[in-house]
Amino acid sequence: MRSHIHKIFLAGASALLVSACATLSIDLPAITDAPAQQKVAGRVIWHDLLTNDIDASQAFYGELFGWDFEEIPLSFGLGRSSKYLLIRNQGRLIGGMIDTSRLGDEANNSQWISVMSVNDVDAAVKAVAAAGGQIKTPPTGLNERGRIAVVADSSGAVFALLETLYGDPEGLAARPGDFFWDEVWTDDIGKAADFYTALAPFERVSRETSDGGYQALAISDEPMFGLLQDPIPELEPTWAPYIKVVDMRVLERVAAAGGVVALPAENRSLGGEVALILGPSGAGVVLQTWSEEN
Amino acid sequence: MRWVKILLRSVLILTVAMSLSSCDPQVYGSVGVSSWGGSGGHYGGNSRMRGSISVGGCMTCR
Repeated sequence: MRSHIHKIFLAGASALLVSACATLSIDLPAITDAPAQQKVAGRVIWHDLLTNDIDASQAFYGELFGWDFEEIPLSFGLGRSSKYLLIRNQGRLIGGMIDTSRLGDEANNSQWISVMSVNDVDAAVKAVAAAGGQIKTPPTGLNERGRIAVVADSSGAVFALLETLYGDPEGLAARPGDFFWDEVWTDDIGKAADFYTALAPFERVSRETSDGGYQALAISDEPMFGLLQDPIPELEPTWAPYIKVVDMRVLERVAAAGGVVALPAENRSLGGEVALILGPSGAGVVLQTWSEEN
Repeated sequence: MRWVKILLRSVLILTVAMSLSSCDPQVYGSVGVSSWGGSGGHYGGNSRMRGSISVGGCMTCR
């Protein structure tokens, strides 16, 4: 009798384990409101903010850029949960925010993650490993969003690879408050270019400027992101997303909103102005003005 | 005999707990500490940085 009860106990525990694992999936919506027909492997199609203070971050970005947010509860089972916010700028989906304070990691990993489109995330991850990168999170299903992997390039700059299920967002003209550019701030541009060209059919393009050269990686003559040599000595290699702004008066509101102007506005060699700000959790993002005359 | 059963049950519970933690699906849990500023970050404390990004930025934006 005891043996019988013991077997039932074991079977129950096994069933619990299987069912618990089965429900531990992340369910995130697609990054487009309607199914899209296109994919451009190598294009940065999304940005996720990891923040250890999601309420302050929401207030900060809402105040500066007028973003709207839609909450997606995340449950990891065993009483663990977190919160994900979809970000909309003027109605258009542009990114997300995830509350990292409830993920059990006390270290502050707050940062913006640039998410690159890939046709096949499994193949892309293999290419990352072969090119000297690191796999932070292997390909993981997010249901309607598709499959994502988090990786670091050969210099340690972290980014994500997403194989969308319903296609990538259209490459629409950027409006104020939209993400419209990304850069890899690296300690070795040549090595970085080698790494990324192993992931997608990038062509190397460069622009001569008064204060040196600037390099980017392009697909079909369209620059996808830039490569910048150690612009800030304090930082380890990192991806840096850019948000379009109308003018730099926005910097006057950064401190009151809970952030910091880390690099003040300066004129760009290629036109417009740039400034670096940190949000309330310490994540950096670059602001850039741009007009058609540039 | 009794302590063997207690031990077996403890091992079973531990195994279930470990298995559940190993199937934790969080995507960004292994990113590591950010090199950006911010309390607790590598450069602890929000402060101004040194450097220039005037060379960078969008090349042919739309």
